[in-house]
Amino acid sequence: MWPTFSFLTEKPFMTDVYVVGIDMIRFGRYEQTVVQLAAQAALLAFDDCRIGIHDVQALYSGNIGETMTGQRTLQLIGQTGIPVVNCSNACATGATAFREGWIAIKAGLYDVVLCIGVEKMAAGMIVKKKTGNEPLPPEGLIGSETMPAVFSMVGLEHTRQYGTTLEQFARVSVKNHHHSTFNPKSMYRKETPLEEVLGSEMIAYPNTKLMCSVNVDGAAAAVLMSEEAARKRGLLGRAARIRASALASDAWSPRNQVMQDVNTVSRQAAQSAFEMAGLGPDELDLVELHDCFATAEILHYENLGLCADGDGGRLIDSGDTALGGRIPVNVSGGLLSKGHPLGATGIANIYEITTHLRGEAGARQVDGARIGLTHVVGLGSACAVHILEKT
Amino acid sequence: MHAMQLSERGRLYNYTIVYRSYPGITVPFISAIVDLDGGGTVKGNLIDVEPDPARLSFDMPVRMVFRGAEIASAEGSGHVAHFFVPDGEAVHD
Repeated sequence: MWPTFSFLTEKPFMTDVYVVGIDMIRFGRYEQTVVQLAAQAALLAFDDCRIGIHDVQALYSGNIGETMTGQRTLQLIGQTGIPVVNCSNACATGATAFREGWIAIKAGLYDVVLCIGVEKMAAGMIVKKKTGNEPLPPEGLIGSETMPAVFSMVGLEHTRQYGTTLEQFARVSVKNHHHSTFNPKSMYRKETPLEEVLGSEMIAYPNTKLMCSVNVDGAAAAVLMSEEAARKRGLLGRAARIRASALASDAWSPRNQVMQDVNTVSRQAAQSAFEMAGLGPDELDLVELHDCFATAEILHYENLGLCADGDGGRLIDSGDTALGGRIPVNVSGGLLSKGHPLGATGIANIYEITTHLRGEAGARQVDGARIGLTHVVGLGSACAVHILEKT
Repeated sequence: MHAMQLSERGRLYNYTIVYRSYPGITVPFISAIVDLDGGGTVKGNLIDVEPDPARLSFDMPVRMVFRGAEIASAEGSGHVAHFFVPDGEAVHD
């Protein structure tokens, strides 16, 4: 039968897409392989919505460190012959895999897909692999390209523009470490008072060691369904509706060839997401944003519209972004304390939001949470923003 | 394409002081972003000044110099690299 819409005047019917099953393993250090961790997360997500691998029509797998991770995961949980797409998009990897799943259901290709994000990380600083044709490695000779250096500069640019202080940046770390004490799936669950954050080893001014995220192992997985598939299985009650899924790359900005710009790309993704969802930042109940370094969280308050430009420092001081405040940010403990297994982060933060929308977040529950936003930025750059709503 | 002459003088737009870098890199050092007078932005090490936030200020005048890369890189011998130094004598408007 021919569709009844006109391409020029009407949009075809597109189903809403729902997160019906989602879970993560506790972030930490594991003996198991990458795909063993991925398989574990996938099975947890299946249990969460009482389905099995035979219900899954496609797999979108996010992982940076290895190749063909999705197929090798299926070797552990069921080689059913479904299409597998492996995604790598820096720190936006997991969110990109999730978004590919969302697109496929939106397009009407599938009703049930699995999205996985997984990573195993070496402890300590990420060291860039040599490309082989560099005559002289630039690190230490032409400034620094380490992640702490990049995000310290990003923070000091905010200081330059608005006078943001070292203490304000450090307070982000105090808050997120505090939040993590309520999260059993967080790598660290320790309070870090301001003096301790400021007094820890300086890595790249102004970020001290406790203001840098933790490189750990982790995996998270989500089962997405079309509205009809979720209703048929009686899964809409605990489902989260995906109100928006946005992805952006970095548009040109004056200095971004020599100084990473995480602001422009974040603003672009956030704006697309708010437009798609038809709502604004004031309507959000909680946010999980990319606090890879304490400095970054302050900028993203502004990039996501949680406060006016220049007010990020005052927002952390006000306590509004702490649990119990006006707009709690990173109640999971964030990348700073929960940990940051690159490929897993973008699905783990969707797990956090979904858990709050379901009212199942226990001691860290944001009361009455109806709408939440997730944000990740991978350098290079890729930014993904998702907005989820309680059903 | 045509050749353009960039100024060797500029101002410190942004910086960080790197205390922990890749294995084998001498720390601390100042990683600087410099806006050159008349246009162009260049990244490089700021040297001949103590790596201390109290000694650095946004927009302080700096000058580009060329020195042996071995002063900053163990593998730098036989190479020349650009660096920035504080530019005390510069006259800026």
